[in-house]
Amino acid sequence: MTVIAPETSLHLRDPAVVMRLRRLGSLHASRLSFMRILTRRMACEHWRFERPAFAVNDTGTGHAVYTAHGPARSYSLVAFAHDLPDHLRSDRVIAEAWDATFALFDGVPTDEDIERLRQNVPHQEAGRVSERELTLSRANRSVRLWDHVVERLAQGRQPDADQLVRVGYLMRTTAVYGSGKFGAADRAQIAQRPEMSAPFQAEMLTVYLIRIFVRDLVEHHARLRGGDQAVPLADDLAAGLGIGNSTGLGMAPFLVNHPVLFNNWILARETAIARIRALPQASETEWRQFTTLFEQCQARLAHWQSDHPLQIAKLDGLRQDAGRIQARLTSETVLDGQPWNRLMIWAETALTEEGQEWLASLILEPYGALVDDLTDQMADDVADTVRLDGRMSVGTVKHLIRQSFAWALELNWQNTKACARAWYVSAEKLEPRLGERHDEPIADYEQPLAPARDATAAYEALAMWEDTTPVARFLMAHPDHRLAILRAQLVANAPYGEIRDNTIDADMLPIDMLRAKLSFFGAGQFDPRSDRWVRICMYAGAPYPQNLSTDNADFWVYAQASS
Amino acid sequence: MTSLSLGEIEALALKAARGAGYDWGLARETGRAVRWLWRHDQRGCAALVDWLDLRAGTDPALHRPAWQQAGLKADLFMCPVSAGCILSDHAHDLPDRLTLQEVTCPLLVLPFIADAAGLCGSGMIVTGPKLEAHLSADALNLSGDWSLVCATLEVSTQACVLTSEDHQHRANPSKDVRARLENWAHKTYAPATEASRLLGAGAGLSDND
Repeated sequence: MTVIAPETSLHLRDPAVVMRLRRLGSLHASRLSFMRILTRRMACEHWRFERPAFAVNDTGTGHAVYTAHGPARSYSLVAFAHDLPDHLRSDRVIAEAWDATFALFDGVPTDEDIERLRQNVPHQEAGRVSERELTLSRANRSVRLWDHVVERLAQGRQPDADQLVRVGYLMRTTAVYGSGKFGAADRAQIAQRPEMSAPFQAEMLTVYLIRIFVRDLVEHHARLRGGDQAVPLADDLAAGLGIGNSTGLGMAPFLVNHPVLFNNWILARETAIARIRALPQASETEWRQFTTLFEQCQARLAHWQSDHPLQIAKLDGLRQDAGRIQARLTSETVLDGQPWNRLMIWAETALTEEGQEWLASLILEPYGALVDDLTDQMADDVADTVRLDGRMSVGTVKHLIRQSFAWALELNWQNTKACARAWYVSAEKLEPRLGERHDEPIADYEQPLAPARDATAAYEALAMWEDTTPVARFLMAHPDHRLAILRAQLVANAPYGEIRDNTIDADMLPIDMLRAKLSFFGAGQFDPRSDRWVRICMYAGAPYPQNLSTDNADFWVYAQASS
Repeated sequence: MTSLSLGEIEALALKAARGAGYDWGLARETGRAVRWLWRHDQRGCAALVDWLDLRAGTDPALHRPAWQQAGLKADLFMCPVSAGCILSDHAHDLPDRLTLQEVTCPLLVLPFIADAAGLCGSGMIVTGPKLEAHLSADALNLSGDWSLVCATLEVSTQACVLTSEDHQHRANPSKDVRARLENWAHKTYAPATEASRLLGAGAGLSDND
């Protein structure tokens, strides 16, 4: 029997170590990822899937509906296929047309619903959805792979497996909007539903259903081109394909704007890691499961490609780390004396950050029964209700600021490099952008995404007041510091809430923030295209509904890519 | 389909307040207040945009309230958001009765009084010229015309707490009010330039790969 250490005696990693951007930018997916929460649930609860409509015509345009039936409620993806000219295809927020557009409907849509959605969904941000819709999204083809697959299937042949593996997806989403955006239902409307209580479940379900649609659509195009000669995509090849995602700066502010939520994600993961490290021993079965998954993961590393110099360097480091881990596992024969803890301690000096975080995720895998409950704590539906506590003393507020930002108080924020950047929103389709403060006229439009700088400014102002003064009085004289003080109070019990790096530094890499969030989604194959744009793949290897079961609902992430 | 989600209305109100010159912290409070009002079936957007239009071009310091005798007073007509924040921040130290002298668009101060009620675990009664409001943290009972531009209000604590009632979960501002708020919000967006389009978001402009 495995004895779990009580939480109070668990040793969690120091936020000052974990919350650095370089480490956050090295996070890997784990069994606590939002995608796996969903697939586990759907398998366990025997969700039923059907396709009430597939009305895509001879020009490849039209709509389709895919419905997922849970034990209490149903959700339907309404998908629209379009005929997009190549020169209009863009992953940017400023795009105005796409290969496919989607809405996740709360229930099963009527013809009137579908017609209403047809008038709006293809326009995305320029249209409106209603409280009956939970998400709004769009996707573009990977042009080369799409054409190759359609051509082969039309000829009655299967596509080239290497090409499929290299790209990984036939379509990639370029935004998946939820939580009340563009008229969709607020999160509060669904947060109490068990199947929606974990973070981003509506978005994860949307992408799962999009994947089914994309497979159907590519086969439809093949039939249009090849007629009777066309064949469906082989099951094993289809299984290896995921849905790509192209993520830019829009996602980065999220982590800064939701510190308590972000804390809950990191805290769940760190608690899981600590629980496993506290185990006095590992059984032969658990160890074997770990080493098997490690080997599958190591093999999968070969397929993780990127052209970006930063990522290439990280991947080189990770592959070398994999070799080091392999050597260590081969020589390790002692399964007691806290084997996982010894492994992680070794990793701290032997591996890169990528390797350490990769290992941290892997050690959780044999222990679903010990850690999966932590996913219940990953949501946050409370922080928005928290009011500023005016009774708190100036001294206490300063202490709270020091907790997360002691390092920031030492920085010279006037230094050109330290405040080189400014986050802003462009009037052009409200696209979030990151600019150079000293070179562009954007300072007046700066978004509040430099909490370290703002906390420092608040601290300096607070230092002029008696420590015993209630902060309410300070705020009457200094309303401009309200946000920083509210934030300090908010994260008082959220040790992993703040990024412990300067988010407006000249050298800051937005992709570190994107990767952190995407790793919690369950994404893999991180492929940065610049310092602020990354492509990933979701659900590659995942079972389609007809094959989904509790046997594969978790470890599909380690399924061998076809080769 | 003209209804907005509460998330949208909160974001719009926040951006409008910021566009009108509020600091981000007060802008956030404004967003929350407007959301609260819509939840309680009140036309928070009209009140906000009337206030933002009124204060445009004036010195914000003139609207900022200070304690005076039995309540709050500003040099010029009082900012409801500033007043509200002060009340909520001082929730545990409020006198049993206090006066808000000439608070503008007084509907906007009610969400903050509700917050104060919640923080104290009590109810609040707010009265003015032909106006009455009974509040607790998540309940509101209004009588009179609260769309008036300015009023002097009496706020007093009451022991009894209203029970929470059914809430609205969508907002329906008129097109005109929404357009006026969007105008204010637009001031938070940087004008697009070709250079910023190419550099700012990182990606190229066409993706055919």
